[in-house]
Amino acid sequence: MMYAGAVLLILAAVFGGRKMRCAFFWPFILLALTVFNPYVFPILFIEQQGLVAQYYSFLWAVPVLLAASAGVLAVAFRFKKRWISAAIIIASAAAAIFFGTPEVSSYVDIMLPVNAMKADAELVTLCGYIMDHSLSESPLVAFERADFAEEAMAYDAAIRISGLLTEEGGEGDGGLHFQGEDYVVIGMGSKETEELLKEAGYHSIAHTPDSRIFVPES
Amino acid sequence: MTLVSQASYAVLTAACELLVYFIMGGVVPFAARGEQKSFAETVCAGYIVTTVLVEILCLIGIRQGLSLTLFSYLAATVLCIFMASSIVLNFPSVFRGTSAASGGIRFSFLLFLAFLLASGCAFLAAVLPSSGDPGMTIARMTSDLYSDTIGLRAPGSGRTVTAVAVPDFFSKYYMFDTLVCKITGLHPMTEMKVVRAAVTSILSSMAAYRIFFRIFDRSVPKAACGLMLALTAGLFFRTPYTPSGMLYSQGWTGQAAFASVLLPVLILTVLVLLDNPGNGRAAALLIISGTAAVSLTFIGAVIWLFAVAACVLPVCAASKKPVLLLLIPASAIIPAAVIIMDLNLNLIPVA
Repeated sequence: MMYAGAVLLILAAVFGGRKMRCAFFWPFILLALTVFNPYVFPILFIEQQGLVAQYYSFLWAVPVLLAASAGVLAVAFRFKKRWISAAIIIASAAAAIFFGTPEVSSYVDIMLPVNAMKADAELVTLCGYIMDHSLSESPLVAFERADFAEEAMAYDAAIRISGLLTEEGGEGDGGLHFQGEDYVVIGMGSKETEELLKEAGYHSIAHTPDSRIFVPES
Repeated sequence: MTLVSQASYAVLTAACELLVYFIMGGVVPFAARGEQKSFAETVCAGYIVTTVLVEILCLIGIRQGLSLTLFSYLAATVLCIFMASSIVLNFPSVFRGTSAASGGIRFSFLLFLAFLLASGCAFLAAVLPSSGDPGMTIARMTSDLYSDTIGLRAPGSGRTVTAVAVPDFFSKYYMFDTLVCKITGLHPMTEMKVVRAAVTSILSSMAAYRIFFRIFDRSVPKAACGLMLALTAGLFFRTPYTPSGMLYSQGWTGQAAFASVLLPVLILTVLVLLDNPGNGRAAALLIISGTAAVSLTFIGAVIWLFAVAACVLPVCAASKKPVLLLLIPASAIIPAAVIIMDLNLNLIPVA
């Protein structure tokens, strides 16, 4: 796709006017000679800044989609007959649809969100129960699912997140190193973790279809 | 509140945000004196002005140790003053002078274009499943609202923050959204994942439309065709190398706004300068856009240095105005200062 974009960029330069060249073609050439030039790259401070992993972001400076669209139109509008111009534009749009990687197909199951926050419904239920049940204003909660922990931070700041069930919290020795967690949320199928929690004096007080909430005996 | 009422409230908030950007755009518009203003360009200019203003106010608020409530009063007051000034300066042309004519294009095609745009926004705002919060932006907003501070409570652990890294200190674009949440009562997740994502998509489309409009000699049908192609390609090409990949997966993030809005607005600004090299307002907008880049994302500060040079140099050569070269250091000075600060400092104390 990038090669096609580059070809269309060149078309934009050849068939487009001064404005198209200034907007798309010459900036691309200048960036190609500097940022995207492997001989110049080492002398930039990108490595020192630790931005090598984000280097792909520099490609955003090249407006590929805008330039590609402009290139197609520059070619299409050179024809005086409107039906030829329309056919080229429609064919380009069809090519984008058939040969692209659509956002829609990247998600196997598209579901309407159940709440305006687009938060997982189960997480909302779990957090609601914890905050209703908790005597503390800011309970310490450990989530087995990392996505729940991440989303809980965004959903309710009153809930403090513990790393108990992450690799860090366990420290790799198979045991759990508790830090006074008020609640521990695990999946229904997590039998080993459930045994460890019971040995540590935790018991289950509530569950959702996919998760269980444990609290300490005291 | 039911889902429908929440969604309606979110749509109303999005409309109000665009109105705020439109009014703020009158402070530093793209159009030179006497030129007819464009609605889309005014909204894009207002987005940049608002982002920069909130960034400056936020940095002042952090250094002065203001609570979020006090900061909200301060920011709302300053924004209202700027909006009032904009209305006074631009009245009555602020509504009459903006061009909204369809100019020789079939209504059915406009309708199709509106449908394409609306479907993109609807996809972003309603259907797209949650894609996490990798930069913890929303978590920071929630934490700030809970603790009534600006960045002093770490999300997750709840510990007091005494020092932050330079990128986190300066990337404060989300404080406008925190301000909106404080005023409207919207949850930060709704504000970012629904409202902000849709507004970013709309701004991106506005910038793209105006770029095509200026390139194709102010022809509305050609600009509309260009926007249609760009929207179609954006929806159907999902790669990390094009802004659309970020826009349609994490449209609320600063990186998405930088790639999809600020960089196209940079191209739009150089096109405006190409048409009229003496347009001081567009030059001023280009200069303050550097600060907007820092506010949106730290990587944006680095990219901005190269992007602004790459875009301004051809305009200088084409218009034969070497004085435009001064725009490069003027626009790059703030991003460069932040980068130098990051190289020399590990952390900046905040408490």
